[in-house]
Amino acid sequence: MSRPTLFRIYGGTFIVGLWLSFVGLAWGHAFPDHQSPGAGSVLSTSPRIVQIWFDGELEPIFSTIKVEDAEGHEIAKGAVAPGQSDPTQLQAPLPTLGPGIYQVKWSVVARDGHRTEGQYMFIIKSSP
Amino acid sequence: MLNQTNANQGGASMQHTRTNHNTGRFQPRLRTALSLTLALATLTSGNASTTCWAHGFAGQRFFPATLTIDDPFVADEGDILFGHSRTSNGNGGDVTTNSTSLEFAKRITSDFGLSLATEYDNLQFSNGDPSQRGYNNLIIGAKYLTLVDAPHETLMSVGLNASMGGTGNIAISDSFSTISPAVFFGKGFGDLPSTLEFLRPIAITGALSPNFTTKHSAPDSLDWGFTFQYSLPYLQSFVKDVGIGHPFDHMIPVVETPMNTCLNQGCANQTTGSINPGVIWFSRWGQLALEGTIPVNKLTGSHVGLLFQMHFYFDDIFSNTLGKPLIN
Repeated sequence: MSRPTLFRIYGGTFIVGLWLSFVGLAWGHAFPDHQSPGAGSVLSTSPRIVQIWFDGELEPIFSTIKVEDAEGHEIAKGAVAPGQSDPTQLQAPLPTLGPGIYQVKWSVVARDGHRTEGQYMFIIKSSP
Repeated sequence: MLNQTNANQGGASMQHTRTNHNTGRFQPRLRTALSLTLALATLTSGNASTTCWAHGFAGQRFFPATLTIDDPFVADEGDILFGHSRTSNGNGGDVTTNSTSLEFAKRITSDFGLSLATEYDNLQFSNGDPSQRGYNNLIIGAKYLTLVDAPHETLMSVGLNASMGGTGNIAISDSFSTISPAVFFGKGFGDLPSTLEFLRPIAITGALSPNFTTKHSAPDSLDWGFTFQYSLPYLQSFVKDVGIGHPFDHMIPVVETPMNTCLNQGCANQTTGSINPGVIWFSRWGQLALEGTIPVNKLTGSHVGLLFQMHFYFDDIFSNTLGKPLIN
């Protein structure tokens, strides 16, 4: 293989890669983009809602979120935020929470059928 | 991922060592290789998940495709790896190698996949000898995912690779074949207690693969190595939001240690290899990665090399066609 041919292969694949990385793709596993409260957050007051924004669209029927207390009791659950034209967000409204450690558990299915899951905790500290 | 023999400097030098030897005892070696693979499969089978996680997932742990250590999972994927290295030719001169490795892997079932790989090498000699270039031998591989333990973020696979002698350019490749049974593992440390929370993004993968040559006088060898990964997306999403933004929240710093130990003939117990620090950036279509290759000893070389990877997740890109297992 000649050197110019090799350069064409290198250049072509690089350009394809760049293109793929910048276009808005609608497939693939969905990963969290950001979340509120954030993982490991230490809060002084109870949040009113837990929200996770993903980097791709979710299948609402197969995507769930729940919040558990330190004993593993489910205290809230939610789903894809209703009424969105771009369903990339999970949310779970919360009751007023007392001090303690809380676990957020989610499982989502992306538009192409791939499932991802995860969990993280946040802490509400006692009032001084 | 590519067989590590093709990508690390040690493996490459071992391949050139083998080129000058004679023919041999293929059948007993093949039986040994197959027996070893079956034994490993028996030991590790029985717990493979029926859930189709596609590339590199065990629970919430995502294992990227590493550059030189073969991965502990099966996937529909395409891989292009560019390599640049400079090694000693043993006569006081240097050999500069520019390589382009290509691999295509296809799942037959959700737990079993086949792969096809080759490498184009361009060797330049500092002593003025004419350069050599051409394709290396074709490598056919099979891999079976034997264990997915989501709570403990553990994966295990067994495989068998065959480098088909005589399929590559005669100046570059071996005239004989090499049969390589292998075992692969991956372990994420997300199950560590919260007191060690900043260690939870760590993951380790590894591979162990003896290489049995079909030529009596060519040495057998052992490929072995590990990868050490620290997943920034894991830290940010599952452990502690430390405010990492794009594009760093999709990066996984990694150190790979591909090694090759000669088992017999004149090079018995000699180990070559490299320590490869780098970073993998992944997206929803695939990943880009860059690593340096630092030789572990003088036998391997004295110059730092480079590896650049473009890797495509076909199960994500072509999720309804090419990216699905042939048999669901």
